Amino acid sequence: MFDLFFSSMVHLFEPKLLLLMMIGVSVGLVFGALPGLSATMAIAIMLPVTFAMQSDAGIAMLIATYIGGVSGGLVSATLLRIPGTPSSIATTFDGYPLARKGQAIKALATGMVASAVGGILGLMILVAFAPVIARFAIDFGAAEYTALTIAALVLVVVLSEANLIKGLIASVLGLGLSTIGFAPIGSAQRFTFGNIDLLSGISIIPFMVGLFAVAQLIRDISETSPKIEEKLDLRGGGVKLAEFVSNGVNMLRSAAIGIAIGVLPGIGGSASNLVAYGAARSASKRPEEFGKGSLEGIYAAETANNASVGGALLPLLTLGIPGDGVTAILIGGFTIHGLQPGPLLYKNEPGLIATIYAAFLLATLALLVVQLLTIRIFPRVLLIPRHYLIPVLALLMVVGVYVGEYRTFDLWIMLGFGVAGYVLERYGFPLSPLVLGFVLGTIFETNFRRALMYSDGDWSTFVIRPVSAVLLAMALALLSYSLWRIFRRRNGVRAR
Amino acid sequence: MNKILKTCLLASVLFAPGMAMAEVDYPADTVRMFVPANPGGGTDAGARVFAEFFEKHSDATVAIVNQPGGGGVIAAQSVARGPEDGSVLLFFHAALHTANLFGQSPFSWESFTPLATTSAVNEVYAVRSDVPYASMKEFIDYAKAHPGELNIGSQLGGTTQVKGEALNAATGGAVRLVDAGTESDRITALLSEQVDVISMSVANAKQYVEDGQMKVLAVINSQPDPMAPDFPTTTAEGLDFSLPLVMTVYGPEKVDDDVKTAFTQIIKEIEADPEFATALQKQAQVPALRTPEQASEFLSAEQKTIAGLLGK
Repeated sequence: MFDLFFSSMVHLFEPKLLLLMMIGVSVGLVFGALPGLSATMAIAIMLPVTFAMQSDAGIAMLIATYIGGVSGGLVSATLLRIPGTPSSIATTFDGYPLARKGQAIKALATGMVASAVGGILGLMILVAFAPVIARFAIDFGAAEYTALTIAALVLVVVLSEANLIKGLIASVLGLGLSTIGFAPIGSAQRFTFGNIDLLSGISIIPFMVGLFAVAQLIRDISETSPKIEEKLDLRGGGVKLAEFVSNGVNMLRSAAIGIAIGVLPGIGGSASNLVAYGAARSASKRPEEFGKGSLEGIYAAETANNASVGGALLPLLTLGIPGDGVTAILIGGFTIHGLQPGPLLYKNEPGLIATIYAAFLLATLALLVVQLLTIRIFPRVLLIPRHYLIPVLALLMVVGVYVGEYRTFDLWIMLGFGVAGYVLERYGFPLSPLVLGFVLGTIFETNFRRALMYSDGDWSTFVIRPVSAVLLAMALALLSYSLWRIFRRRNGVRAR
Repeated sequence: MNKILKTCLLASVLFAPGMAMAEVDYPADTVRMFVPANPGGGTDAGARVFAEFFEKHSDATVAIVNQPGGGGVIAAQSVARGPEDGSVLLFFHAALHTANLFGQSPFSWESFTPLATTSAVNEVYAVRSDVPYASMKEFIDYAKAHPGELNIGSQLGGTTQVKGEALNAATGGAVRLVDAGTESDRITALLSEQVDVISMSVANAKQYVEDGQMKVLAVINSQPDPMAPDFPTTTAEGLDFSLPLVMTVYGPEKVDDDVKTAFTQIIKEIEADPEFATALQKQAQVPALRTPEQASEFLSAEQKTIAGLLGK
């Protein structure tokens, strides 16, 4: 595979192809940065553009768009506390506070470096172990998914936030919201109140844009914030080698989480950044800095979401099975370029696979170049007076949410969750368990019911299957440990 | 703007290679075709190919609007009460019947005006290659000998449940019907031995068969699929049902008569265009063209077959 990989590299190192990939990355970046517009939409729009191209150019451009789209969320998450895509939610936790401290460029540069590292680590795993890991992904059945969703939810509730009870309430709220509409199996209508618009449930884009972006605009309007002195002339983006090195383990861990979650069809990058963030916080020597501009938090979130790209491509290339919504559209694009993803592709067309890998690497590097070239432009957004900035952002959100499914109803959903997000945060309810509960709710429910169907109603399936048993035990251990800590803390206070 | 558009149109007409071709005069200038599926999938691909040839053989331009929500309800809602001039269309398939029969959607095919059927996708029943049965007959015998042991993975509430129910009826109810989700999910569930038989598209099945991971019991159609002529059909295997997924174009409940007339002409033009079949072949679909009248007849029969299989 490696010699094919290098010959493909040489082939793609053609000015025209590099330019196309730069364009792909830039389009992806813009779509990723704007709330409501996502990587999915960027690829859907680029698809017709690539129709007329040769297959390798078209595929390279699509891959570049995908990678740009996943990474674009970084800029708006850091500067405005508005995650452009679900995969950059955790970036807002530390990127934004750091930018508020006047270190916007450093926050951005750190995220960019972490993105590149995550992307390259994901790619390396993809190149080296694709068929082996694909087999693992297949054997990950309904019972295992059930256990994994429980473990991920417990992890985020327990690790990422200080208040366990409020975290649990938020995650249950998220799970509850995900049940609105048709049941994922069968046809029961739930909480639709006879309203036809609610039949399809709440879509992720209006939900997320409301919760984070609209809520942030409400905060921007209602609360006065101190004037920030931006340091716009940091050399090398202010990323220090020592910081990079000290985050080595953090990045490896986050990349592993990103790949593992990305590989499993259905979960994807929207969950991996939150889980990696939670894990980084628990492993950190300075957990108290998380949420206040910790570099470790930025490294974790941005490494994980880009590593998920490699993960998601893995089952796509080896089995023809898409890992998330974006890769589902990517499959459509590949088919149009005469490439039928499936088990034979990997065996019969190693040259094409190598081209995809090479495109991945070059796109990741192109991404870094484009980002570093533009790094000094974006922080100036912070210098724009807010009475100009806020209406423009509001307009972009409305447009972005509307074009998702062309429904006015989604706009009301967005506004409703905007108010809800503002109120929840005001009263100290953490939003990440809420989002994760919402994202994982349907996956949990579907797989839980499937597992019981497969086992003909036998509940022991969750503890007999080893992987599922281990995951459930981990979740249980985490929960009991944190409950024990709360208990001990209370007793300690009384004893004093 | 209008001027630029007209100039462009004029230019494209002047320089179009097939200038002799008749362009049917369609009542609406621009058509919005709602597709209840994400871009990139089979339904979307079918819609895009049809839109391309619709534009080629008429004076209208078509914009595809993807509205995947609610298993088709959202898109159906957008079209059902649309204008009567043919400017709003729905591109869908048998999931419209199943959603209605399962109570997931208030819209039946009769809530719309059938205007055409365009193409068809065939599915097969597939099993893992390491199982002791190699043909439909052997599978049915095995299932009857081991009642309750095998399960069929379908997407419950979708069109594949109909295929599961049909196979289950053939075994006398000896297999269990379980939910295994979308085609990708079903493939994974089959390979990881969580389910024993699934329905899947011919294009995917061909790959897994060639790779030695799966065996095909039958194509769920009375006609062999041109892409895989050596797969046996359900009819040849003695099962009397045929359920290809036929792509259908609907107009709103009330449609002007000249829309139907135009559609009849356009369908005839497309039928005479050999490039249509070639374009569909790339998407693993076969032409299945019907005029508004033929489509109504077909849909009425299709709905009855499905309702019969689901016992509704």
